[in-house]
Amino acid sequence: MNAAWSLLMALAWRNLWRNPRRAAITAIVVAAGLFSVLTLDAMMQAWAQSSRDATLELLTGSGQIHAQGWLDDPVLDHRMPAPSPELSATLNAAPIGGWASRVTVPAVIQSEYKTLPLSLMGVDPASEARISTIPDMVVEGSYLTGPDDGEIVLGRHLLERLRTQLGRRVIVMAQAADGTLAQRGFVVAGVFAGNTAIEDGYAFTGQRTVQQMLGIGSDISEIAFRVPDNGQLGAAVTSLKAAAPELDVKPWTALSPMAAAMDSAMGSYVWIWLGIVFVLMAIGIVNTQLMAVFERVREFGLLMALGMKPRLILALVCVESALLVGLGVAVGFVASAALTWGLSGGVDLGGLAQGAEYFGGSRMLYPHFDMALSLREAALIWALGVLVALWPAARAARANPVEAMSHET
Amino acid sequence: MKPDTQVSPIVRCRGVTKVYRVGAVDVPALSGIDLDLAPGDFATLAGPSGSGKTTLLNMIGGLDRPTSGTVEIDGQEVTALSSGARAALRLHRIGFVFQAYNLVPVLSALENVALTLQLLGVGPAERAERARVALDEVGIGALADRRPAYLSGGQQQRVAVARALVTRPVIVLADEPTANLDSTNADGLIGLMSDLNRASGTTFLISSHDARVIDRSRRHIEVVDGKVVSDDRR
Amino acid sequence: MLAVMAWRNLWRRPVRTGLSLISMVLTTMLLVFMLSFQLGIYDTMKGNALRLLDGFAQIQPPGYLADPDIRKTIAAPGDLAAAARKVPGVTAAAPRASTYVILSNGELSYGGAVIGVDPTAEVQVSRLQATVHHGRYLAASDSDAIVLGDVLARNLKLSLGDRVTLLGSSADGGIAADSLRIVGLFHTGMAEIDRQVAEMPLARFQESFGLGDAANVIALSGPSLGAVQRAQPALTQLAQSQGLVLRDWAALEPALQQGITLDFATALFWYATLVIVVVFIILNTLLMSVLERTREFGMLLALGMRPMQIGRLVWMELLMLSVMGNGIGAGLGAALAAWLQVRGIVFPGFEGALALWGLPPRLYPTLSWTSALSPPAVMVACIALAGTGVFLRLRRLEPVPAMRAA
Repeated sequence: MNAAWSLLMALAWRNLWRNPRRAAITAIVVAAGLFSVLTLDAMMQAWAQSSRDATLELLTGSGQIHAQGWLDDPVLDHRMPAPSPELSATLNAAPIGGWASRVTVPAVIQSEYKTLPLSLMGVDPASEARISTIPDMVVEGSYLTGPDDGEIVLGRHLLERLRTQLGRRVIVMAQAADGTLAQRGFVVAGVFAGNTAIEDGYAFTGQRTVQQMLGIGSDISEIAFRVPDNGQLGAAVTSLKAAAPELDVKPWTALSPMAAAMDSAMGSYVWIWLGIVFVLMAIGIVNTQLMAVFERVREFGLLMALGMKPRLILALVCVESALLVGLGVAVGFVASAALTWGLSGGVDLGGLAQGAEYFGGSRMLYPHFDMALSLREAALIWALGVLVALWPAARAARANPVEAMSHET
Repeated sequence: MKPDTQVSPIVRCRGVTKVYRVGAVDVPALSGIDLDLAPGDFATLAGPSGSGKTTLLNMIGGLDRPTSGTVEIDGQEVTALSSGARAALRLHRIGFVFQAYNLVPVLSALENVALTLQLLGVGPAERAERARVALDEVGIGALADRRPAYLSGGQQQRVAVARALVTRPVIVLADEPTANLDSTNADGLIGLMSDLNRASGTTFLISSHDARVIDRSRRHIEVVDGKVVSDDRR
Repeated sequence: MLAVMAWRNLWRRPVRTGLSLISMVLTTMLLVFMLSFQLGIYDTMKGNALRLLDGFAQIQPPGYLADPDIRKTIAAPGDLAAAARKVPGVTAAAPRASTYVILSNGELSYGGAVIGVDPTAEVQVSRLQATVHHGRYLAASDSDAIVLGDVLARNLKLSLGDRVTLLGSSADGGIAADSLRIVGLFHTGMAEIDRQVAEMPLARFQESFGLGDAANVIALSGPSLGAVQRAQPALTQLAQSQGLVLRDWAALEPALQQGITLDFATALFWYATLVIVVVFIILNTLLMSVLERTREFGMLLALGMRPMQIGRLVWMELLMLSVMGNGIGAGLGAALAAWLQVRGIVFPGFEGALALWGLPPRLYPTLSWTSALSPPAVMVACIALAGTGVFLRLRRLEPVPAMRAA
């Protein structure tokens, strides 16, 4: 059996190169197809990741807890008390990796020059750092020091629009609990750079400062939590709901339907693409291998006349196809891995950054070559490619020695 | 062996040599051929395998250029012509019948015959008419609409003869036309060519080592190792 | 007869020709459909985003786009709007003024943008009036009237007929205040607009905020976005003569424009890989069909056919094959797109995401000449181009070696 196999391999390999141009073109078809599948996959994953990063890691977290009604209308009336001991215990336990409470209210910010609307967010810097990447995105000055911090951190773009700068005072006005318009002056302590929507939309200060300004005691408007293992998110949400049945606990998939939709759409899109590419590749493979078989009918007849069994002829053609498709798969795999690796430093969408944000991503994409998934896709393409090559192989095995020898070429 | 001086020859070969380069080795195929064919000749060309008959036929047909020497066809020096001009010469003056692959498989017998007329720029009505007449002359007018796959080997060769003659060439070159035929069909084909030669006066040069073909020829030329060794007129 | 030969040659290997056709039909069908779908969605996105408030283009003071400021004004907006309406392709021009104010009801206050509009002109530019679900939109005779986003009104605990107080800064830097009766509430579905926008009559705005006769922008509209885009050169000239600038839709909605560009560029990249795969498949088929007919070509050359004629024959086969395949594919793709253009496509589970992009839950492809014809045209062109290699090879064909070929 071994001898037969090594003979088959040797025959198959040489047969492959009898028509090098044809073999090369077929390999290119397979390589281009697989390349597009793998690269698309890497890019989509990078996009989904960037989309998750843009929403989840900036502010949203893995999930949030609010009072009922807050999500529809995020105003002070829909606030909630500080977490109960029971809720705190659940939040502090696995699988939750960190949590932060926040006070968020619609507000107006005023410089000497102009007035702009935004959300004022009172945070506890220590717990916030475990949830959000904004504390790390401060490009000028520094982030807040504690929940009592009375200074403010603003986005870079907002600062430009207000025509103010680090160290200057701004005035923030918001609806207080008693219905009056609370007003407070803040010194700009830090400037963060994120995406434009967040830069323009949020201002951060100490949580207790906001609570005092609005007169809400220790009440908060939301709790954001992080679950490091996305697979445990469902369980975490269930246990939080049990701990705080009167509150509205939502995973990020419900909070950021766009990021969630992206996530699931990307996955199915890649498989649809793989299907389309496969159909085309299959046509390319069958077309070439059928021709290769037709023009060698005499040769197969001769091999059979010499005593080779049809099964072995079938095996020979299959091995040839396996080598040919395998070659294309290898080239496509390496090319895609090389490109992805080359781009792993990050793809800067540059001038289209706002466009990326519009679709829920961010300006930088970090493609990552998922070796396990790519190997699986490559193996699938290879196996399917060999499978469709059974058609020409069966044609070859049906060759009749006598007929084949007199076959008109 | 002496050149015919009475009438100007259709084909005049002088000192024709041809050397093929196979890998790093020079293989001489023709080593100095002098040969004239007169109008109306019905000649056979024989010789063992590798003697150079096909090469000589290719030279006379303007398919290939000699390494040295000259080939004149109907008074025109072929050696100096560009490949385009040689193609035109073949189209206008020469008819070919090959051993196999004679016909375009996707065209019917009639269309195959009409194809060369079309290449000559003959209008559709005239070429259909002339092709039909040519097929009638070779005795298969009834099969005009069949494609080559539905014709026997003998019928296919008759279509090839009809195609070779339809342009009224000065010479028809046939390379082993009977090689793939049984004896009845071979006899029929050679008889047909002989009759057409007599009727139209078209020169025929047929390479063959089929004894029945050689028997019916009126001039027999033998080539061995790229040289003419005998030239019998009967 | 060359055409007849070419056509019949195609069917000498029906399986091979069939497979090649299928590869082209599938690809072109997919591309035509996808392109129609994408262009349709882009149009919907642009239309929905622009018709709501922005208009198809705006004439603005320089620098207003980056930093909208009540102090950047257009001096004689009425005359300019009238002049803009005379430009072919522009059917409506609405002068507007706007600023950020604090809206309050007693002790309750929220920040928002208030826009002063000329109701008669405004309804021709903006679809906002159609989203008024309580009360009515502003009328030409209104002075003491305002329409609010419904969320803003709810937050301020205001309803129809109540008065709302506006507090902001006037054009000369002083304090400006006014109190207006609510005549209508609108709900656009865009959270930011429903929560933050109010509209009041332009004349009243000019008076209250010390603008005199000035406005901040002139929003333009036309029968279609394309018509206004074609009018751009004339509009730019008009704006420049007043020391103003024209902002096209891409400038007004840069995120949308870039998003569309990004999406389209990405899609084009994937489409290109698909085209490459198909072109190579066809190239391989062509190469095989030429190689296996070398002897036949040799025979034709011997008969006196020119290599160019053989090249033309093969070229014609290639063109017939690709025109047929891509034609059928384009036809099927167009039919699919046309069918779904009537029926619409629903993506279950994506309604939320779609709403965020200003899209309805049911999406409609838009079949156009561009979407129906550019994929097959590109495919045929690429295949024809790839065929030149084989064509050039055929031109070097010599009868004797060709006839000897195995």
